[in-house]
Amino acid sequence: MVTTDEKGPLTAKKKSVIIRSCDGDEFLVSESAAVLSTSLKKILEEKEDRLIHLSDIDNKTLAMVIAYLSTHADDGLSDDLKRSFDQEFVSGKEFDVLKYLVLATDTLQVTCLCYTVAKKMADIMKNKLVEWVRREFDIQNDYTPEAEAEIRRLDAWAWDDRQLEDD
Amino acid sequence: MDAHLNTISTLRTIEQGNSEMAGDNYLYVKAQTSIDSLPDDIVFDILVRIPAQDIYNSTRLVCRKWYQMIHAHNFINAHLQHSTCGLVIQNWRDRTSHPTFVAMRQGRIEISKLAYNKLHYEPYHTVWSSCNGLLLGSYHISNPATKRSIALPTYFGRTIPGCSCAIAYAATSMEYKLVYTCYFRNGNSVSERSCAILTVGVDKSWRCVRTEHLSLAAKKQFHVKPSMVTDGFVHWALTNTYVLTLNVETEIITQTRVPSCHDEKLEHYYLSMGSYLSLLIACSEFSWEVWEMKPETGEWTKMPKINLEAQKCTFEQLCFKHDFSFLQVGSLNRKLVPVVFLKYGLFCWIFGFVLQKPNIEGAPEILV
Repeated sequence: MVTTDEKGPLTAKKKSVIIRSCDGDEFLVSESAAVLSTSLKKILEEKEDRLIHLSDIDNKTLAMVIAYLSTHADDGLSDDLKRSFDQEFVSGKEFDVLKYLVLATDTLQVTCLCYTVAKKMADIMKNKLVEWVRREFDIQNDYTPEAEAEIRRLDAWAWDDRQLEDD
Repeated sequence: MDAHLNTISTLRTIEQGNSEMAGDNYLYVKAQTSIDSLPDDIVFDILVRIPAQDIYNSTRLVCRKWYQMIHAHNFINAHLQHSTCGLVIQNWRDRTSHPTFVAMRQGRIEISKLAYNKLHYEPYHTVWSSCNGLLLGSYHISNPATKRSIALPTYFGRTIPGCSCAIAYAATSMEYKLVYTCYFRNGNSVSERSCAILTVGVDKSWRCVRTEHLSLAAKKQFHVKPSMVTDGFVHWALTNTYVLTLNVETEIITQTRVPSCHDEKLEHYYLSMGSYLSLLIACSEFSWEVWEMKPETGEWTKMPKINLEAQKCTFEQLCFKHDFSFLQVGSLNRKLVPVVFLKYGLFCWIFGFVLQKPNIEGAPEILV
């Protein structure tokens, strides 16, 4: 006969928390998924409270992060399936969406998702013009035209036959 | 795959009171009202995953802050950890041909040409040794990604040829070292070959590596240039007697006996397999006995034999069509060995086979 301890894995799995986004939407998440985020894990260890409000993450981004956490908390899925989920997860997403996502993973401290998103962003940034990068990151160019031209001039011998894109 | 969706449900009913109660559980972050700029550590995590050539073409020109981040020592080291290992392949029959970079990314073989000819001071584009993307040419060490090169240091005032050197990376001290097989006179007008080492960008002069402990038979290996580089080690490996292994971190050289085989006349091929040195002994035209040496201990382990006799027909068909030669060039992703076929000394095809599962994989790729 199989006996289940009260604090056994079955009961632990059923525990869930409510996470609220900055725009007020609430998500019911299993605790096993929530603790994959180091920040949420810390809160849950300190407080008995089952409601966590995230003042910086909007509902769309939070929904994506939770979908990721729930998939990775699912013991029934093989590592291969999780890997292909990760690929699918970031593919086709706009650069802007990825920016919010990477910020959210930083806040929630979900290291593996942070790296997956950072990799995707790096892939998108390949072959892009400096102007494109400045626009997407909203960075002011603080080089004088002379200083920029000087750096470019010094480095004109290799890899320079590549066509850079601006979209 | 959809099962996980059941666990997430959006609850749209929120009462004001709840949010007051939840006050203690607010997760505060760096004041960030809009997404104007990402925090530096996130930017670091993104930039470190961009290929070096893209960083040099555009990323570092974005702003001064990024420029400084990219040129810092910790970034360069972190970037190296994220880089894909690859091989620099060159057709030595045609000395005007460009080195080609071959790498495996996400299961696909990627090939890119290095525009090495733009280094006007190199009469030929021969790459004698390479390490972490640094190329050792006839007279210079260059980095095609950063577009920088430095002249090879002289040996007691003399210019030394790149062909008798090898370059390797000492990971702990994070230094690149140049290893040179040199002559020196031992007093009674008999010149003897030995080995000298220099830390690139640090040392002004060469240091002699101690070789007194090596046997005379082992020292004969110095008659060839250092031929193989594995992670942190340089090897003199060409014959069926001894392999000399220099640890570039400790600068200690050791001798290792090559495993004996039943027929001493069989051809021995050595390959760098990342952290191991592999030995292929040709039993027939299409089969090899495989050994692996761990450079730290000098222990040889016998690996499963590679037998391509079954694919002989495929090769012979190619052979009929092309001027054919069979050459193992190194490892990709530490297990795939590309095999190169040369046609009229101008083109080559590349096949790969996995050492553990020796089958010919994929279609041939043309490397001009």
